Amino acid sequence: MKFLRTTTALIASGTIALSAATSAMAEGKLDIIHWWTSGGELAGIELLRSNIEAQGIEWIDAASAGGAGTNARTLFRTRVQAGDPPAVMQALGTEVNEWAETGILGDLTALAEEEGWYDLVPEPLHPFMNVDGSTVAVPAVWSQINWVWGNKAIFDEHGVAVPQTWDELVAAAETFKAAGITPIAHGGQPWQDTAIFDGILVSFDDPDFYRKVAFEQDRETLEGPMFREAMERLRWYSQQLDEGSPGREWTQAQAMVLNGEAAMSWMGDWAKGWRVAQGQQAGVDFICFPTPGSNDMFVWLADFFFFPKIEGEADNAAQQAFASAVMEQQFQHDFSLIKNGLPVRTDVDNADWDDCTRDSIARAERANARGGLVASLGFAHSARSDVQGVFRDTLSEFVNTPDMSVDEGIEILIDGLDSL
Amino acid sequence: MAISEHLPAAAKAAPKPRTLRTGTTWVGRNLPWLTLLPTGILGAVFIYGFIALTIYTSMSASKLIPDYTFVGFEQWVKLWSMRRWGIAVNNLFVFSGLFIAIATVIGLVLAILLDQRIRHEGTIRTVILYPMALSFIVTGTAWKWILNPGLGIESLLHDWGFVEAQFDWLVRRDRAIYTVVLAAVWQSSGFIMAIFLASLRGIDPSIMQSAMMDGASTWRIYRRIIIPQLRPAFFTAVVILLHMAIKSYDLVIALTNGGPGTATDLPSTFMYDYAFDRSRIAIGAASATMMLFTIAAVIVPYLYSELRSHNRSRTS
Repeated sequence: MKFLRTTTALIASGTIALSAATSAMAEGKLDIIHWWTSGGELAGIELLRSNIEAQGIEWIDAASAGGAGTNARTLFRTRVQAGDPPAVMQALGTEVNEWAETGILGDLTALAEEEGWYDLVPEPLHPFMNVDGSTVAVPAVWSQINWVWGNKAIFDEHGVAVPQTWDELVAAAETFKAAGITPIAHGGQPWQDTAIFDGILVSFDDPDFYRKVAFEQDRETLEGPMFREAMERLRWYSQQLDEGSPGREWTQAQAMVLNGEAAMSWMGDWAKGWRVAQGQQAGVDFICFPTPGSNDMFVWLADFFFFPKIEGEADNAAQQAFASAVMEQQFQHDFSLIKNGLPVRTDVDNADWDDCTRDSIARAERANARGGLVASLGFAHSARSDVQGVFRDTLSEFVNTPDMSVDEGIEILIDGLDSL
Repeated sequence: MAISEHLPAAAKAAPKPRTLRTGTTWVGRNLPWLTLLPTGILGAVFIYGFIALTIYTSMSASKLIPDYTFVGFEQWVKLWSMRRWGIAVNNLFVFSGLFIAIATVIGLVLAILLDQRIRHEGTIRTVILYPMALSFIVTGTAWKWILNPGLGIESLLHDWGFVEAQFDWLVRRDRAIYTVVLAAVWQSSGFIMAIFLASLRGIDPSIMQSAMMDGASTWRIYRRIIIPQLRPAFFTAVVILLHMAIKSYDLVIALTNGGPGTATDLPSTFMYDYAFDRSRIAIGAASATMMLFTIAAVIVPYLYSELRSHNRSRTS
């Protein structure tokens, strides 16, 4: 399958290169580091690639799989230090800002104004595209994190309605437990422990609270009653899991729900992409609902591409061509469908989406109107990776230490933040 | 070494000995040094040069990319105030202590048992040595499945009807580090056995026979005569095991990935996480330097005492 796709792409690119050579428009090259190497993500890259190659630009692919981008980041860092940065690099959230501050990124402001990006892209994404007045990155796709995926047959069989509040969730879990079903399937890896905490933080339906915790790490809020309650909810969550959860991959947790071993699982919308790839259908085989209490809140993460300064006019033009290709309406439509994420433009036709994606987009609009469209803490969007790292270490330790008290957890968290 | 051994033979065979005679030309006189020079330069740059660079980086303000502004011991102070680093250091002592002790004892016992001139020794030796042929990633993954309460031993015992059976160390914060020890011992004991076995075969059997004639029990012979003679083998085994323990990275990544939580973090996993995932290169360098110092603190005195006693026994 993959081989076939690559071959087709090769043949296609060969033909294009030929025609380009004859019309003598072939100019510039685009050297790109990314970690989208499988499934819908690879398909997205292939769409961009054929667009770029059709413009006669040479595409030099430095895909580096593994470690959720860690390997690609190491490669990028090495090339920056060697004075040979690629034309394009993939990034998540605040990584864009961290690199922008080192002064190695180029400026796409003229193009952004010409194409009107800032009118098309939802406002919360702007701080990652624009650093100190210069446009340094484009968003490719974004995702809602506060999702819960349920096994429809199990919910129906036990007469459990979609829980709207935290109390309803607790009641639902009791029902499932009594029937011998694991209420929640969870992959106990630190990044997943932190990701579900994003869902807990918005379950209070309070944008201000989220902001104070995730963006400001306001000490008073962290010591206050609402954050205590959040930790109590995390403790409760950790008690709904089966004993095999520590270390489990997220796909295995999704599979437990699919096989009926567990009733539900919390994960961002890429879990729907995985389900669709397994031949499941939204509303028929599985149900989707926001983490209870967060119907008007939307925690997101986004993938970006940023553009280091490089020499050569033709290569700079290639960078701009790539940025335009990512922002193109057709690409945004196609890619959001293949990857099951959300388009970063607000003017994309919604006819082809399923109910979950439509629900997600409506939620983003509702949330945005009340300041509840918030960047993820778990994926280092609301804070830098060192702050997020303290949350990740502490929350993961808390989840895996059943006898750790809430007070102890909060104390460790604040100590960790103070030592940064 | 090899070249200097071969040179005289080549010189003898050559028809014109004058041009090739060592010791007369500059090249000939300095040949040993010249031969060692490339290795020396490479070692100086890529080992000692980079050690120096790492130590300097640990005292710099580096975050996302190296930034050589000197900040003194600030990063070290931060490192030692980190809870997670404390856990990692503690784990290193628990892990390396148990791993070295258990692997050495098991290796020695297996070697002594195999040394009893038993049948099918070759087959048994291969079987015991086989885990060494696997990479730590494979070992880690296999043990992860074996020890997973939902898949492995515990679930098997449940299926057999022992519903009360419990073996969930892998997912328990306070026990998980012992599963890492278990997997590492399983992997390395066979190799340690091979070291001891080679050493046992080198002991003159007549010593054993004469001790038996004097009426010493087997236990006593091993304890007072054989095992003391294995001292160089112990030295080799401990040095090999110690550096394996401190370098351990892939096994932990595959088996627990540092979890549950941060319960099985080792300095090596800590270092990787901070240097490459969290954009804190200086903290990563400080932790790497600490690892180096830890190894040096143990190995250097050991090496020194072993080599000195070796020299003394040679001169006397």
